[in-house]
Amino acid sequence: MDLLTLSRFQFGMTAFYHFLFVPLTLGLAVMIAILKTLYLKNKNKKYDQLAMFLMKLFAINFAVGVATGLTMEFEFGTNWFQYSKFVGDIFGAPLALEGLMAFFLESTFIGLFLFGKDRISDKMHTFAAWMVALGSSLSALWILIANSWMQTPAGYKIVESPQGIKAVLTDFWEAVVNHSTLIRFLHCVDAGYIVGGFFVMGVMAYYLLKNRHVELAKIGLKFALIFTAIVSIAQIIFGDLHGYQVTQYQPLKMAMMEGKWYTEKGASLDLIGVVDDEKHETKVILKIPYLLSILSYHDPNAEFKGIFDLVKEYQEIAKKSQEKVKILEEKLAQLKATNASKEEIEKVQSELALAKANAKAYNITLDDLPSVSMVFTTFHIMVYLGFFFAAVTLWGLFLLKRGTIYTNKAFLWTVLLSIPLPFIATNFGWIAAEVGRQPWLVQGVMLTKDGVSFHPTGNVLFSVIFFIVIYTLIYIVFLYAMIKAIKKGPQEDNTQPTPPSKSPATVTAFSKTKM
Amino acid sequence: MPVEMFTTLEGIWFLLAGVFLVGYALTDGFDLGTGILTIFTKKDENRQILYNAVAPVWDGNEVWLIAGGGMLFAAFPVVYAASFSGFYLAILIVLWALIGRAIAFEYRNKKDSPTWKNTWDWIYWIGNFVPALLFGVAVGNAVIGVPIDQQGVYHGSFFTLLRPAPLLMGVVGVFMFLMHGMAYLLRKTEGEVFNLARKFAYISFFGFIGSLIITDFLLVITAPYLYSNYFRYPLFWIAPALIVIGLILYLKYLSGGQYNKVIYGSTLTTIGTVLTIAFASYPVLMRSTIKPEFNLTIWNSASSHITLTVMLISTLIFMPIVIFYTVYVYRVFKGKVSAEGGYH
Repeated sequence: MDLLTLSRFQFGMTAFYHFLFVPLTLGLAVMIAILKTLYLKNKNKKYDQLAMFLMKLFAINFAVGVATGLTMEFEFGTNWFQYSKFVGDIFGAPLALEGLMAFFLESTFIGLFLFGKDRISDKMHTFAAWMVALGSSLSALWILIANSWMQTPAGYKIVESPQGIKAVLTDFWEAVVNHSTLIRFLHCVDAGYIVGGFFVMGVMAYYLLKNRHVELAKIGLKFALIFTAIVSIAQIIFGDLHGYQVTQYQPLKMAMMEGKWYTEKGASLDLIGVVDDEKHETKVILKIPYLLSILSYHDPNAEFKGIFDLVKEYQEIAKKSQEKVKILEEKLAQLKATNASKEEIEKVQSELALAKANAKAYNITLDDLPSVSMVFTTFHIMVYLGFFFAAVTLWGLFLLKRGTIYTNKAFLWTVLLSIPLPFIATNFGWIAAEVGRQPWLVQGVMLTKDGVSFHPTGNVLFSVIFFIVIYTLIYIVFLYAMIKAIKKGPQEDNTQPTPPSKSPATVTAFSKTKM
Repeated sequence: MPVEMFTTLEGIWFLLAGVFLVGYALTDGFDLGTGILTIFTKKDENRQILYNAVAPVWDGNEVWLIAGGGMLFAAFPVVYAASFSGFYLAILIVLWALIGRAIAFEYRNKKDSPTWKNTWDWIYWIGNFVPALLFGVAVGNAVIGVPIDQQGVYHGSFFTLLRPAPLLMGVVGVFMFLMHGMAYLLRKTEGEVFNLARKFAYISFFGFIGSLIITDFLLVITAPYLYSNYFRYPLFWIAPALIVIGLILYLKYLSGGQYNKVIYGSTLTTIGTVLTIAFASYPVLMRSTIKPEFNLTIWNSASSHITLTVMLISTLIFMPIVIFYTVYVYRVFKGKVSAEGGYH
């Protein structure tokens, strides 16, 4: 394998792995905060016990999430030297702000929540839970701002510097909101909530099936079901809006996700199909006419551009940019000869740098495309799972109304076995989004192959292998710890009169002598 | 003191980079120090106390590193790119060690078996010792100089980084973190662990002074350029003075039995050490051994003024908030720790 493939593999793998833990913490944090608030309101101790139990599971996740998140923060520099230099002016800020605004908050208050229960008031403890939830969501926001800028860059110009060309910020807010941040944030964070919701439903179903902690599990299941139903149905709307936005700003990605090689008017939605990357064709097994045009343009007769045409269009842009380079170079020479003002020269220089970047980045052929079948398959599975989640929660709501939900074995088994599915959906969604962004690192500005570090291939091969080994070991230990904690279950204490702060279940006995 | 330091964004960001380094060294620094002690006591109970002493706060402390990395990326992207890719294996080793440390906290007590616990204790020790050593080595390499070209591309190997002078600076770092960690333990523990911490406070104190003197002599010979700033800007002597004042206080409180105050000494020493290196290097952030023109300075590697301004405003707003709630949480957890509780 070559350096680029190894570097991409390492980044993809570590990001994928990191995202096995993050979505659950996103969902759990909010659910814990809501449970704590419910406890403050109605003083039902079950809510508090549930929150403490979930926070223990949260902590097991969070530890791995933090540790593997550190990898992501460092990897831009270690493996994507040219990229980091190119976008540092813009891309570094959201990462720094994530640390400053979100990560400090989350990490500091999780310590307070886990170890401080017997030292602070119930109100403060609930506040800490909300700060953890706020921190995790803000953290997602800043990371998605950075990612969205790679997908739909805005608020920048290109300049030449002694250390090579680079993108420079011109408008901070434009770069922050760009064209996709908001919807990507809603879609992604909501996905985290679904992961958390299904996880809690599954764990509660397990207790009901095993006939353990029944009272607590009933409350937990009902709460998680209502929560998950709301976020699963909301996700269908967010998903649609996100698809609409991708069609507008990243048509090539959308064409790959839908497996459309040829441009179609009134395009059909291909529900089931097999993409052949070698022959450049998609065998469609089941399709719904017009639906794709409706979904992506909200118009049944709209033209949906295919991969072949899009690649041709990009080559056209590359050609035009190349012509522009020549014109601008002449203009620049003229300006310099006539002693024009510094601003004028700088403006032309910047236009020239952008034209050069575009001429290079848009000059793509079919060979530069990623595996279309991978993008197509992961995207479709994600969508099907999304509808499955909404269907399961609707089924649950129906059973809840009939009052049979706690004894319906089919439902309980379904939610228990569904625990891994949202993890698959979120990670497949990211594969579709990131593999679908190829061949660009920054859409239309920088190709992925131009962003990599200059390393001896052996170094990266070594780190890839080492990552695989330790990440596998960590996952085994992680699963062991999670399963053990779930089997042990929440610590219930039903001696009602004692205030919760004295309950042995929740005392962490962090300290002998209180201040 | 050079005037431009306070009047330009680049200069302000040089100081802010120093603030983040100091922030990390002062907070996660004592975590690292306490962690290094782990294998020097065999008793499970004592080891558990070492974990518990930092359990509620280490996570927030480590964020200084993450935020610092982000700040470096945002303010001096070329330095971030050049150092992280240049020090590739070293950075990844630090990373893997820190991952091990984070996991050890959470998983040590998940199984009641001596072998299980002992394995995690060693992972935990590596997770504290290796970063404590390599941070100093990395800083040493950046200021002494590494083979980077005009583009910032690194042309050495992993072993280029392990030259005597940077390695010695790593050792100084280890003793510095150990001093600070022991001072923290003197506040947080009692009994056997306390006695052990007092013993190691002396060891690290003399280890720090010894390694610092040796490093100093070596640098005078091999990297005399690191001293030129101190002749040019007399005010920079504040930094080495802080080290000395800190050391005097450390020994005074330690030998005088005022154990709660020892940490003031190590705090001053830590601030002084970080600043001494920063001032020695100013305005260079990463020195090139190929040609002085290839040095990455605050002038040629900084972000645009828009980015620096946005980041400066954000830092001025959010840093005080962060410090406010961090101080609050530390106050909640004031007092001595026991071996009970902690992570189950």
